[in-house]
Formats: sequence, C-alpha cells, structure tokens
Amino acid sequence: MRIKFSLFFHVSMIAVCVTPVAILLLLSFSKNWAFPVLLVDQFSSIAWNDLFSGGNDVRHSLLLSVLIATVVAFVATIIGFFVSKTIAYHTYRRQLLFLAYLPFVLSPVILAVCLKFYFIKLSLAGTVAGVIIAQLIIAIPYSIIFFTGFWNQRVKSFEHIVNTLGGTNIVALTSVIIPLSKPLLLVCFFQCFLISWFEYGLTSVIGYGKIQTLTIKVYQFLTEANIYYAALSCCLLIIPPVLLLWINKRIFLKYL
Amino acid sequence: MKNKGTILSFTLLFIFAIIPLVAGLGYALLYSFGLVGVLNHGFTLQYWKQAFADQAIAISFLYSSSIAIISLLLSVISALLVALRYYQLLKKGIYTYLINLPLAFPPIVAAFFFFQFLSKGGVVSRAAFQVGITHTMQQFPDLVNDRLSIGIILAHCFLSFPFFLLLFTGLIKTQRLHDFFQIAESLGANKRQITFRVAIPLLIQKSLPNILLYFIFIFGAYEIPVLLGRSHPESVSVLAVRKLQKFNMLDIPQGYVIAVVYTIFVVLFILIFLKQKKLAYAN
Amino acid sequence: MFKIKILTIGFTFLLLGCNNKKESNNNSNISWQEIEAKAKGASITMMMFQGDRKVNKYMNEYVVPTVKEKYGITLTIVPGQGKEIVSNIISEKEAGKQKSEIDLCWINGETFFQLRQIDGLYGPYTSKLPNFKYIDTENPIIKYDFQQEVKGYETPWGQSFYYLIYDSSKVSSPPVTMAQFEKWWKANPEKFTFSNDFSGMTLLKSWLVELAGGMNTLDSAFDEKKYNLYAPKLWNWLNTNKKYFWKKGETFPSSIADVSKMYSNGELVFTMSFNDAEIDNKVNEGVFTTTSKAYILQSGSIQNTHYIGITANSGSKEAAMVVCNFLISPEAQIKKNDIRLWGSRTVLAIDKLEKQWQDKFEALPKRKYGLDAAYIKANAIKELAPEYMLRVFEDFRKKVIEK
Repeated sequence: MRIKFSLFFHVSMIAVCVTPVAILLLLSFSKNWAFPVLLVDQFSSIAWNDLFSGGNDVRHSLLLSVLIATVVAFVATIIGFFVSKTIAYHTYRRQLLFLAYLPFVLSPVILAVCLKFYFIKLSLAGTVAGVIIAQLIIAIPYSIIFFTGFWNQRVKSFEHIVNTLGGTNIVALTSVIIPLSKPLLLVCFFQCFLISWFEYGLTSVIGYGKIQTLTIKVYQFLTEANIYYAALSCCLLIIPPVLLLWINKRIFLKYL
Repeated sequence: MKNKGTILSFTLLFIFAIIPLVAGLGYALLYSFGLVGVLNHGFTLQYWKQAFADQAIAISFLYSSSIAIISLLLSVISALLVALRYYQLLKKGIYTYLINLPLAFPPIVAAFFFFQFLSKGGVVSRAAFQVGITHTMQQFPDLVNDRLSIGIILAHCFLSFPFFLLLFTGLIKTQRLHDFFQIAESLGANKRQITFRVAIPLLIQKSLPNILLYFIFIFGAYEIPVLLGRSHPESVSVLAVRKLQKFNMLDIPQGYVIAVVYTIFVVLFILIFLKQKKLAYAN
Repeated sequence: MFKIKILTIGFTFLLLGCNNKKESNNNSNISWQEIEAKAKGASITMMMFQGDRKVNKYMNEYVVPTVKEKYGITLTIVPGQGKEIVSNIISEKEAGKQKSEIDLCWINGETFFQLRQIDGLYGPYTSKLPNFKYIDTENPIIKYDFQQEVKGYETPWGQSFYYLIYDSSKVSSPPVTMAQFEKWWKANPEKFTFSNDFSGMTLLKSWLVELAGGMNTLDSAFDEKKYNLYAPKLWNWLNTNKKYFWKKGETFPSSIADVSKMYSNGELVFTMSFNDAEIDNKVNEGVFTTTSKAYILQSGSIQNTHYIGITANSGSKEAAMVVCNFLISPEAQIKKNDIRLWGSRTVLAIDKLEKQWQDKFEALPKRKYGLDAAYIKANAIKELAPEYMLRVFEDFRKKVIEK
C-alpha cells in the first residue's frame, strides 16, 4: 500500500512539474498542429531560427534582465532580511508589518500608472535605475514579509547565547543566523529574482519600453496569434530561471 | 549599533513601502475627483457616480475574492498534506529541483499553457478524442473560459502549490518539526494527533503572512483571468485596466476610482486579518 | 494620519503647479536642406506596435540602419500602441516634462483623435516633406482618418482593410450577409465567435452598415438618431443568435489573437484580420492551414490608413520629419508593400511616381492567399466616425455580454 502510494505520488508530481515545460518546448518546435493530432507531427525550427537571425537583439535583453534581476534580488534579500528582524523584535511589530504590505495594496500595473508621474518628474522614467527602483518597491516588502516567519524566540535566544559567551553581533550573524536561515535566504533570493525577471507592469510603464528586459521583449509575441511563437516566447521566459535552478540544485539539495 | 540599525530599517521601510503607496494613492485620488489630469477641469464627483452607476465594481470584487479564496484553499491544503506526508521524499533527489519548476512560470506563461492544454482544441481534448472518449471537439467539457472558472483556479493552484510546498518544507526544517515529532512520538503521542494539533496549526500560523500576500496576488491577478476567464464577470484588474487603457480616454478617471476602491478594500482586508491573528513571532 | 494629509495636500500643489508651456518654434521658414542638416546626429525614439515579427524586421533591419547611414539619425524603436502612447503623452504633460521620451509614434483613428484633443501632436508639418507629393491625397481613406481630416498632423504610412478568413475544407461557401450568417451558425453551432476588441467591433460595425442599407447612410459625423435606429436591431439579432456562437455566446475572447489561436487549432473555423499580409504570412509559417481563404462581406470591407505622428514635445522635430519623409519615399514604401517583407499597401499614388518606381511596384510578387488590390478598392468602405466605435463597444458589453 505504502509503495503504491508513493509511486502514485512520484508519477503525479513529475507529471505536474514536467508536462508544461515539455509541451511548451514541443509546441515551439512545430507547425500545422491541427485537431485532433495529439502531439506534434510536423517539426519546424522556423520560430527558433527567426529568433537568432538579425533584428532581434535577444542577447542584449537577456543580459539586461540578468543584471537587473540580480541587483534587485540581492538588494531586496539583504534589506528584507535585516528590516524584517527589526520589525519582528519591535514592540509595534504588527503595525510595522502592516506597512510592509502597503506596496501590494495596488496591483503592479495600476501602481505603475499611479507612480509614473513621479518617475517622470524625477527623470527616472526610461532608465535602468528607474526600473530597478520601481522593482524594489515590490521586491523589498516581499522579502520583508517573507522573512518575518523566520525570526522567533529561538533565534533570538541563540543570538543571546553567542553574546553572553562573548561573541559580537557579527559572530552571531555568521555562526548562527546565516547558517540557520540559509535555505530561506536562497528561496527568497530566487523568488525576488523571479519577481524582477517576470515583472512586466512596472517595467513597461516606468521603463517606457526603452528598458527592454527579456520579458518586455517577448511579451508582445506572446499576445500574438501564432501559437508556436507564443510557445517559443514562453520557453525563452522560463528556460533561464529553470537553468538557474539547475545550477543551484546542489545548494538547494544541501539545505532543503 | 542597535539604534542605528533600527533607524536605517525604518528609513528603508518608509522609502520603499510608504512613500510609493501614499504618492500613488494620492495621485489616483486626486485624479478620480478631477483635480489632476490633462482632461480634467476641477473638482467633480461625476466619476465616482459613473463608476458606481452599475454593479460592475461590486461584482468584480466578489468574483476576484472568491477565486482567490478557492485557489488558496486548494493549494494550501494540498501543499500542507504533501509536505507533511512526503517530507522525507521531498528533501532529496530530483524533487529538490522538480518542485521548483512551476516557480519559473510567470502568470502569462501559465495562462497560455493552460489554454493550450485544457481548451476544446487543446492537448487533453485531443487525447480524449484519440482514445474515443469524445467523438467531436465540441463534446469536450468547458474547462477554460468556463462558467465555474475552473481554468483560472487550476492555473493559480499550479503556480501557488509549489510555492507553499517549498515554504512548508522549509519551515518544517527551520522549525525542526521533525525533531519535535520524534520527541512527541517517544512520549507516546500518536502521529495523527501531532499532525493535526501541532504541525498544521504551527505551519499555518508561521506562513500566514505569505498566505495573505498570495491572496492579494491572486486577487489582483491580470493575465490569467484575462486569457482564461469570461467577458463577464470580470476580475478587478481586468476591469480597472479596461477602464484605464481601453479606447475611451474619458473612462480613465473611472479607472482611478477603481484603483482607490481597490486600495481601500485591500488595506481594510489586511488590517482585519492582522488584527485577528496573533502572529507567530509574538513570543 | 495627519502626516498623510499634509503629504496629500503637498501632492495637490505639486500636481497643480505644472503648466504645459507650448513650444512656439515650428520650423516654419527653414528649408528642407536646413532641416536635414539640423537632423544630423540626432537620436530619436519611435513608439509603435511590435507584435509582428515582419514589421519588426522591416524596422530593425531596414529602416534603422538606412536612416543612420543616409541621414546620421539614430532611431530607436520601442514597443507600445494606441492607448500606451496616449497615456505616456498625458503623463508627460501632467508632469510638465519639456522634452518627450517619444518623438515618433504609429497612430490612427482613436489615438489620433485623442492626441489632437490634448494637443499632443506637432504640426501641421506634412506639406514640408519633399516626398509628400507622391501621397495619394485624393483618396478619402488617406485624407480622412476615421472621418477626421488629418490637416497635416500625421504622415500617411500604409493602408489596411478588414477581411475575414475561413477554412475552405470546412466551409464550402462562406456567409457574406447577415441572413447567411444566421443560417450558417444554426447549421454549425459553436464554431464562430469574434473578439471583444477593435477587431470584433469592426465586424459589428460592418453589420451596422449592412443594417443601415449601405455605407452612405452612416458616412460623415456621428449621428445619434441613426445609431439609435440601427444599433438596437443589431443587439437584438446577436442576442437571438448568440446561442450558436462559441461557448454559446456567453463569453467572447478578449483579443483577436485568441480567436486566431483557436482558428489555428481547429476550434473555430473563422477568424478576422486588419493586416493585409497576415493570411499569407500565417499560412507560410504553418500557423493557418493551406485551405485558409480570405474574403470580405457583401456590405464591403472597412478600410483605414495608419499614420506616423510627431509628438508636440519631441526634442528633435527635424530628425523626426526626416524619418517621416524617408518612410514615405518610394524606396521605403516598395519594401513595405512587398509581401515577403511586410505586405502593407502603399499610401503613394502610383501614377504620381517616376516610371522606374511604377515598374518596380508593378513587379512586386502577388499575394497567394490575400485578396486582390483592385477588388478591395472596389469594395472598400470608410471607417465610421470614432464615436460609433466607442458606442458599439459600450453597448455590446451592456446589451449583449451582460445580458
């Protein structure tokens, strides 16, 4: 019974996780996929060839996206981690935590429209710095909220022990808190990276379309009528984070 | 040292959390009353009256809330059960990688995939036709753009389930729940009791901020309902974007009315939520 | 709470304090040579629809390098259409920005109407363009943009017309009148729908024209009385027949792209397009079946022109004008007309061109799936006034979708 159950578990988990990636990849390599053909019978690499032919500066967008997402994830994770500590141990933690939720009160598209005025005033519209700041408005509070569950009495007492044994705060940080929080730090970094990677609303409005992250670049094709190009765009969006995960697999494995 | 850190933290919180909202909301509020905007000519209540002339706003708020609640119930409960039952399996081998895969899906990709997967001309329908379950494409049930919003809910669950699974397995580890299980078991408590009386309440309590945040995400979602939903009822973001970005420029102030109502609704929701539940780190 | 109040009041002043100063210099007396000289070395940005790879290729691989080489202008193309352009210009005006981030924009109809309303466009300027003399200015579809006279505030760039696409392996003779549509829907339920966007609304407008007994009735400015006479008939007819539509007419796809996606996987057997070259492109790419065919309704094919506007706050209007002039040159137009490159019909009057260009236009490859130019011209009908679109949109939601 137990074996059957876990077999069922394995099969369904793998199906849920792998099917979408496989289908999107298959669709991006096909054409003339008419009902009732189940899986593609005519392979074609038109879409992929087109992508790497001139005019589509995908590499530039890819680099820009990696740059912006890394900066945003790094800054947001660090700031979020320490700010959440202050909040968690503060007398008015509940009220302070409430403040961290505020940027999510508006959905990104609407928030962007409401904030555009100020970004233009500050001459930040249409610049990489403007886009990074705009994305941090979402990413930092996210990271603060993400970490609030981590700080508790137990962590606090660990810190205390280190302090009473004569260790500085930095020792407490490096010897206790960081090892303890490493899996969460990684998940948070990854989540913030993804928030930035996929961010469309703020990036398109604040970046004026001039800051062409990969998401901005491929978004237009996704809303187009050609399902094969749309599938290709999907692959372009998901493959880099999937690879990132693969590279990080060892780290995840170790700490999860 | 401690004081400096606190001040720095508060400054950052102020810059990234408070200023954007106050500024954005202020702008939307002024716009909705005709005080700013190229086409406005001074204070008016007209846009608020127009926006509430029909029930579109109320319907869309109800609709978006129900979608968010149902999707979250499904994904949180299933993630909890899987995390507790299969914790040992999940922390090793291929799963450490696999369960992260759906996290790499932005909502628009999920929406596109589910459309190609579940529509009448989609993969599942083709499979049903091939094995003889259906004989025409039209016989396949409505799973996207459907009356019950099945497609939307499935897409949201697909995105949120792995997130909660990761969160719960992470918490089980950081909270050392398994050590706790062993102690409890050695003291003679039964496993089911521990699961339902201790583990689940603790995990829920610890992850409440994340659940709340996810509620807001789904509530404000745009891409998934716009592709997998119906023309009516509309989700809140779809309605707001229609007013803010579609053809009629004179509808823009009404879009800001929705933005203001949206903000008030979510702020109230968070306030009530945070007030009722004692958050875990409060000792 | 008090602090928030103060902040809000502060914002009010900040926002109200911005006045939009109008630039008075409109290059009225300088020669084209001087304009070209001033344009040299400038960097400008063009905001346009970028959801079509052929269009992108035309711009990025041909226009951008050519204007750089010929005129020393660095042109950047950024994505954004209609509403986004309007909202960007509005925000810049509200923030009191003197120099716009956008210099050129691809616009027509509604967008032109709205940009004119907010004084967002520079002009009149088109008469200064040396190549403007080739434009087919007699053509009412070029002279009037959705019934509004262009008056030199935008450069005609290309023509589009509305047509339907069907799968000839599944439909033997496609319906062209409302009576035929009704008959076809009843015989083939759940295989037809249209999108709740610009494209679908154009179909509704075509039917409105049919109900009004032809284009002549609805030509010229918006007429409330006529609208109220014919529109209810349309809603009534749709409500009686929508049970035969896709998903029983309870919902409509939000964009034409979604309709075409379902057409290409076989869920629907009709789709529509405003892009002349789309059917040829999509068949060649293996998206539409080779049995796809284009056709137009008996009441005619709604035709419009797309234009390029220069923003009122553009930092380099000279460079923007030089690019406009290049885009309507025979050289650039012939490439735009070529089905292998873009495939959008030219706005030039072929008979005004020199013989060598006439021959080149003549020698362009014919469309394989698309419709013949002469046939379309004979059946073209003008766009209705923009107000019709706004009303049809609003009433379609209230009287059909929410019913």
